[in-house]
Amino acid sequence: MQIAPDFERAKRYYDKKRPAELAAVLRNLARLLEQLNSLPHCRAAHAGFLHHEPAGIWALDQKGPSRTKLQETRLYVFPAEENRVLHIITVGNKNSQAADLRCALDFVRSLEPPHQP
Amino acid sequence: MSTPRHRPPSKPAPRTYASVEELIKGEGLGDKIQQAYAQMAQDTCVTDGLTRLRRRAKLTQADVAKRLGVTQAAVSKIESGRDETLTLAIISAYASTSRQRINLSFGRPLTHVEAVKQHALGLRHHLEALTSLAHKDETIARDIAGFFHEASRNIDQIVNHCRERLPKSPKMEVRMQTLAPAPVVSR
Repeated sequence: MQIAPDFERAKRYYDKKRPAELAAVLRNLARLLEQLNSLPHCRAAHAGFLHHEPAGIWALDQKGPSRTKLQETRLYVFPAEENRVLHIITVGNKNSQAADLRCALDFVRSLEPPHQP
Repeated sequence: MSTPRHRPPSKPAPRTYASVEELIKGEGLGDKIQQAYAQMAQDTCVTDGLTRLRRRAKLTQADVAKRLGVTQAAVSKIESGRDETLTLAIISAYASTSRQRINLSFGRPLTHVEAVKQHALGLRHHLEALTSLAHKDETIARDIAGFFHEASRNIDQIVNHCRERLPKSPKMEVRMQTLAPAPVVSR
């Protein structure tokens, strides 16, 4: 797992204001990691909390074993198949979903090698 | 005099973690997150175990659903839920579908000494069962004798290995008690 710069800012907010939501998405991240480690290809990963977004980005929601009702939260990750690294991009709620997704797309584009004419 | 070369600020290397627990510690996330995460892990240790069992047996949620007589979505809900929603029927369905044994224990965990004693009793029970089986057939008896030899060697090895790793104890004091001289018997 590799932490992207945008996660830093989002992490600080969630650490202070919404710790239960961040814990829930991290719990789902742990479950996803366990599944990925037993799969030959990331593409085969499947879970109720896993949403497929454009450009191969995954959004992990907060649904699962929490005892309290949690705010809708998404942790954006990107699996890089070639080097088997899961990039942790950012975390946000429904209000910031569009901006978070844009940020995730920018991050994934930055990973691509520069186009050579 | 040479002018100091201006170096562009180096990009910090991305932080890498092997597990979420490492990430929580490495990113310095607060106590509330750590506690909530630990609570969730504790609340789902059995459901996570069942999911692991199903995956290792290369079964799908639909396979378990068929055995339970429910939909695949219901199995998905079970696997992502808390342990307190489980029933013995569900656990039994996972065991039979994956053809594995599931042991559940409740209450105070055994101490190491209690656990060793319990295993020793179990061992004795099974060895005695094999002994009585050996009386029924000569070929089986030979196999069982071989197995006993192997088992005894393995158990000895385990105990000796652990004993050798014990801290060196101070030399034992040997006290000799001199007995009163035996009366001389004259011939």
